[in-house]
This record gives sequence, C-alpha cells and structure tokens, in this order.
Amino acid sequence: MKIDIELRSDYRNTKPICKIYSKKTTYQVVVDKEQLFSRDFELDEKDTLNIEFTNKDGVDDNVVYLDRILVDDIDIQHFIYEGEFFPEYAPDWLKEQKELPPSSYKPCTELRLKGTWKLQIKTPIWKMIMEKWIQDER
Amino acid sequence: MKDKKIPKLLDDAIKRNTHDIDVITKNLKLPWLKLDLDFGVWDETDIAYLRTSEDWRTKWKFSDVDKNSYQVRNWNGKLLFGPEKFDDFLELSSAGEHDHDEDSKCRFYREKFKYGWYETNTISRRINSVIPDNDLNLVNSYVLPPDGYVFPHRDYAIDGMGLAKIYIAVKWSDGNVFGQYGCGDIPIKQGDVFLINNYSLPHWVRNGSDEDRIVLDISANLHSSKIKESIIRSFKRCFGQVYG
Repeated sequence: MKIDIELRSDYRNTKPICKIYSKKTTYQVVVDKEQLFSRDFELDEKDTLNIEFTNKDGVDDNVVYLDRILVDDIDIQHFIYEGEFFPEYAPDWLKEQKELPPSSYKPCTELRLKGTWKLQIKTPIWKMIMEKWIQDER
Repeated sequence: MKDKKIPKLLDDAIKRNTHDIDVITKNLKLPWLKLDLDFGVWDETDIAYLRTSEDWRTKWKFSDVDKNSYQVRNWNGKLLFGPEKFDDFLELSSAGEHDHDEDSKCRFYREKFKYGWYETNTISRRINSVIPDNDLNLVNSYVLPPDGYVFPHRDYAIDGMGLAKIYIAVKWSDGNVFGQYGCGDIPIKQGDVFLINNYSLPHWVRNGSDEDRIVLDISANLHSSKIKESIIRSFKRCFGQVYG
C-alpha cells in the first residue's frame, strides 16, 4: 500500500535522517528542506506507521516537520494529530532534570528531538476514518 | 384467559405506548425515513429560482475553507428562510467550542433572532402550506453541479438531534449518490421527501449525472402537526406490525 509523506526540515549542516517503517517494511530518507516521500509498504490490518528521527544534532538543532500524510491515496489530514511522538532523551541530560520530561507528546507534528513518531493505522483506511467518526462523541 | 391485575407500571406501558417522535428522531439514530409530505410538483420556474452558484461554505463563513477545499467541489446553496439579521446570527452562532451544522444553529437560536423568508414566492407558499413560519428554522437550497461532491464527513448538532433534516429532491437525476456509512445509499428519487439523520453516521454526496442536483433543505419543528403525522405514518410503514 502506498504511503506519501510531505516532510520539511530546518538544518544548517546536518540534514535530518528518518527511518520510516511499518511492521514489515522499512525505509530510510534524508530529509531536504522540502521532501516528498512516496513508497509502497506492506501493511498488516492493524499496523503502526513509525517515523524515527535518527540523527538529531543538538548543535545544528535540525528539525523535521510532518506536513501531510496520505495512505492508500487518502489524505489522513484529520488523523495526523493522533500521531504520538516518543522522544529518546539523552541519558546524561535526563539525570540532571529535577522533573522528568513527558514520555510522549500528542499531538506532535514537529520532531525536535531524537525519537519516534507513531501513528496506529487500520486497513482499509477509508473504513478506519469512518469508524473514528462514528466513535466521536463530541 | 381470566384478567389478572398486573403491576401499574406494566399496565401503563402496555396501554399508553403511543408513538413518540422525540424517541423516533432522537434516540433511535435511524439514518433516514422517507416521508409522505406533499409539497406539490416543482416546475422549471422553481428550479431556476433555487439554482445558484453561491458557495455555501463562504456564505456561512466556514473555517479552514482553503485547507479543506479538496474535500468539497462546487457545493452551492441559497438561503430562503432563516435569521433576518444573518451576519449578527453568524457571529453569535459561530462563537461555540465546536462546529455545529447550519440546521442545528438555526434551531438553537430560533427564539433569539427574528426569522423570516428572504423573499416570498411560490416556493415559500408551497412550503407554508405544509409547515407554518413559526415552525420553520431554516430553508435553503443545495445545488451540486455535475461532478460536484462533498467528502465523507459527519455533522454535529447542539441539541442531540438524530433525524432532523427534511430533504426534498427537487432535481435528482440518476447518478446522484447520498451515501451513509454502513447503510448503503439513501434511495432518493426526484420528488422524494426524506427525513435525514446527518449527525450519527459519516455521509457523503456526489453528483455523477449530467445535470445539476437541486435539493431543498428544511430545518423545522418536527412537532409541527403535518410533519409529526407524516413521521409516525412513515415509522409505522417501516416498523409497524404487518397484518395478513
């Protein structure tokens, strides 16, 4: 199943590198200032789209932005905010903190730390979107 | 069998269980109900009056119109009956936490503003022959040209309604679709009148025909006598006991 991701990045010298993977498929992408990622994934009926920011450079302060995601040619605009970012704090830095930082951030579409953004997905995608609307009790 | 005294609660329930349109329209979450309301036949003059290229979302100042523009193609509409001071109404009704649909807003603020027809003509007279002004909240046309569509979405109501939208298919050619998730397409034919629930399920529309699709949308007090009677008749037809 095709997944398209519109990415952006900020960096001075170190282009961000992301590992993008599901349970059975993995890719790596070097993120330019503007980057369109488009690849086929083997997806289980219940799967997770992972975007792992692997080379955060604290000096360069490079950042990855997730602007748009299409799965199976369907824009999941309404669900991109369901994605949760799990940072990997540097152990030495973490020891120095009096209060522990959050273990995850949601919503989060800006990856400013080393870590992995995760979005639970179910196929078929159109049905996943319908089911989420049905469960919306606002 | 000899009559035996039964508990009062059960006795009342058995003897007094009449149809309650609040239960039918709010609690059941039925996706649609075909009504037998008679508004007459819509002629070419009516159709010409209802036809418009005015963008419905712009008229109602929808937020994120540009961001969401890919989800809608040529969804147009014309207001016929509603709040007279429309801009004041929009300002007040848009201040809420969530986006509620236009019908719901017009129901909610019915006593707060003066409502009326923006123009009286054969259409207003024909609607008034079934529903008096004091039972109307909103009357508008929806016009969807060929290849027009609205993506799957769900609407939300301030007042917990389910079945609420009176939907008259003034011009509805083959190739039009109004889908309700998990229920198939609403079996609409030109001239039909349906009571539609756009609050419980995701739904979508597409005009796959070669002609404009023109609908009259009416938000009304469902207790208005002719509407209420029609809802109960329709409900009985769909769910009532069938006698040999």
